Amino acid sequence: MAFFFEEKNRLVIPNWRSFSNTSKIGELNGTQKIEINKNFKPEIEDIVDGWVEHKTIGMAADLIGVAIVCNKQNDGNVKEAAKFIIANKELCNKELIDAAKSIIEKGKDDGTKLDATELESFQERSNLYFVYQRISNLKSSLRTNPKNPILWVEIARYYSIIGQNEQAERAILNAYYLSPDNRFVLRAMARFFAHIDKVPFVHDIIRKSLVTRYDPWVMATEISLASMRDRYSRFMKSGLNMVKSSDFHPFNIAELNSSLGTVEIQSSLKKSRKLFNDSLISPNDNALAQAEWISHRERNLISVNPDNFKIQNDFEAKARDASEHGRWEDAVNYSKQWFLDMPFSRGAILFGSEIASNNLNNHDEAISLYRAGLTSHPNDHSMLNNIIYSSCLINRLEEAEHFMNRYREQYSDNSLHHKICFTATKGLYHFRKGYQDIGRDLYQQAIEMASEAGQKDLASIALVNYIREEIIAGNHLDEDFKQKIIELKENTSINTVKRIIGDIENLIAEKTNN
Amino acid sequence: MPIDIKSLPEDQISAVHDLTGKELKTGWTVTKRVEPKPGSSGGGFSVCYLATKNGEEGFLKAINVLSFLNDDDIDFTKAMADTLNTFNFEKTILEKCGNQNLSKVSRLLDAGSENMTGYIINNVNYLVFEKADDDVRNFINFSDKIDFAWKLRSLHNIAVGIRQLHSLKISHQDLKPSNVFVFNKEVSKIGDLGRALSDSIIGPHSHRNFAGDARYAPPEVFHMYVLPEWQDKVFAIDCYLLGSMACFYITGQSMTALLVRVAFAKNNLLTLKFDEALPYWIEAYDEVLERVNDVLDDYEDKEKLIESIRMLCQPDPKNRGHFKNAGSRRNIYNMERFVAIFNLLASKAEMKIRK
Repeated sequence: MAFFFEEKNRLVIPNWRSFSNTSKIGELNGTQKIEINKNFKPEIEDIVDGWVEHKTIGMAADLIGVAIVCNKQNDGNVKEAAKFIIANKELCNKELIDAAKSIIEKGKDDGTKLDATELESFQERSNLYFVYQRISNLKSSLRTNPKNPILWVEIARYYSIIGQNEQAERAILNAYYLSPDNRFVLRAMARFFAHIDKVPFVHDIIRKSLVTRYDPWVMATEISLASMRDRYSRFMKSGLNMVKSSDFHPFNIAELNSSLGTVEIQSSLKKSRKLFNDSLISPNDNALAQAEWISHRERNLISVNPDNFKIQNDFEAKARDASEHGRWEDAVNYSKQWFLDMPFSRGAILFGSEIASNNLNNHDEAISLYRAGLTSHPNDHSMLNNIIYSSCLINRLEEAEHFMNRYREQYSDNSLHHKICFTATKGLYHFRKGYQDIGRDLYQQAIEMASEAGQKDLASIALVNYIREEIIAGNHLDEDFKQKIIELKENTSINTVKRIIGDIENLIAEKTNN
Repeated sequence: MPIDIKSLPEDQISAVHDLTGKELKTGWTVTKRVEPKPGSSGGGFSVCYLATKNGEEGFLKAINVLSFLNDDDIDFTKAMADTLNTFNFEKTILEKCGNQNLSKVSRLLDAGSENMTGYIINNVNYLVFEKADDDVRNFINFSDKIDFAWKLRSLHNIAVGIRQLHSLKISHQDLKPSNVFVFNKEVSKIGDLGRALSDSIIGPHSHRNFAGDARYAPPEVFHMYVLPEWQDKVFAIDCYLLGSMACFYITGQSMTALLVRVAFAKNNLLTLKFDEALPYWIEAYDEVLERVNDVLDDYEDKEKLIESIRMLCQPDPKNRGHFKNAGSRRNIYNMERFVAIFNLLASKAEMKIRK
């Protein structure tokens, strides 16, 4: 039977995207007013004069270069120089032609488009070839530029995507040693170490970092990491002062408001509401997703409609919103985009696959999501169990067998919850293989384990799964079981149990009709 | 009724506008008025001519103390004083260079002043430089592989010029395409020392951390980050500007233009302090070098050339300069090794053409 993904708590841990995407979203811009070099006067008239006097390639090249630095690409003379370069391609190289084209096309593309997250690319992204290729390119760049911290973070991200966490850890630590006070490095570290369950390690680093004292983005991360450790952050007070001050653009304190609001909900709904509302003045996707999540958990706190915000890559918030409103297909599609945006994200896979499996009864879809998720979480017991379960339900038994072997290789010492689920899943597999006695026995074991451990819900889920298999196998159903189904139908609040009982009733009805 | 000076023709106001045909006390005959070099430090406040003396042609730059006449809201006295100070500073620097026979720095042939009657401003101060064919921008293209040997030799000449200035504790600060002059179609020399900084000659820009043209400046200048030692601060900038010239020769774009195009497409680095922005400059820098590498295509010594640019233009000024100079007692921004590298590369390319 499926292992259920229960998201009891969501914290504002930074989303870890590529450097390019993170930059374009604006998460790496400065937060404080700084002194700018006043000697810099972005004027180009003198170079234009030279160009007007001598229309040569050298003059044109110099002019467009200076125009790029001065952000004067729209000047008529600059455009003319760029066209001159294009018209004299034989005297130019690719780089100069590209620069000239960028000037001619300035304004047509704002340059802020993020890397592709189109749904169509979901299947091909399950193919890891492109990830290995990126790793190979990054390795080569790092051989030449070992002191580039951004490249170390990038390669760590790709290692993380394919589940090579040891390599990822080494790489991200290199980035940290090179640039210990960099926001991008610290926030990527927070996400990565949270991902591999080393929260205390990364929290201690961020807690002690100098930048945490004045950077709202890093402070927000620290507060969330402290919450993950069930600690009260030492930055709560300074964080509250920071968001009260008018020194920051609302975008720069969106995550901080969100982190503070998540902590404050324990003590004051009123304070928390104010903080969440402030987080939505100019949110990033993470703050919006947090607000969306909290709005489902605390119904009276705030109301959020992600469509009211123009935020790039707000897939998580939209997935949650679609699920909340029963738009299951939308929810699955947004989950896929959420995964494409952050391919190491376990949450995206579990969220989408559960809806595909439970609400849409689309096990093909669930399997394709699990397959994608297993690339970055190759040993994830929940995903392995669930892909076996879904494969069995649509009788793809060879596939189920493959993942069963993988599961066995990884897990000899699981938690009771996992043992119960996997024992029941094995029962399902044996039923579908035609070994009903073994299947029956395994289901019985699962039900007994769950009952003895006081896990009534799990016992109920195992029971209805078992009964369904008996019916599909064409076996006669004892009166005892029929009675239990009637009782469960009246008493259960578990959607999965209700849905499987529905399946059972349909199966019985079909058999009666035949 | 007072005379409105602005309404008079400029050649009646100041003798500086009316030198054509005149014979000067220094023996120079002024033959033709020409436009000042675009982008030159004195371009705005000088009037330029061609002049001859004993068959030699010179480029005459006469100071125009009334260049601010049509500007509004300007402290006229201060502007005039600044102009004169800049002129005197450049003259002093050039004389210092001239005394040392710097072969790759545009030579000052003469300096003098004239007093002519019949003008409101009678006095003319001027400098006469050796006349170049033109600045490098009118010689260069960005595709011809035969030209590459010429470019490498030109880079070698520039590196020698910078080294010669550094040996006098002078930092050029304003090395850019318009300040590289070509003589007899072969030799390149650096010119326009109006923005130079010297440890011993005080000029109007001496108090500045960067006196050159910010449009070609290294990243630290935009963030006002300054190395504590004067010599490090100014020579590190010259290192960058030399590497940036190499980039211009190869790609047609200065290092600053390439960096801005890559880095600012992602991030507004000017909102950050230098230490915050540095990792992002480094990231952009690596991408830029890959692009330069692509342009060099199958050039056999491209690794050596790229490595030199990498060392010269490091976004972190502390890491600039030849790595073999690091840790030695010598100035880490010493140009000697780069002079040798560019000479070697130029010689190899020249030999290849001769074959």
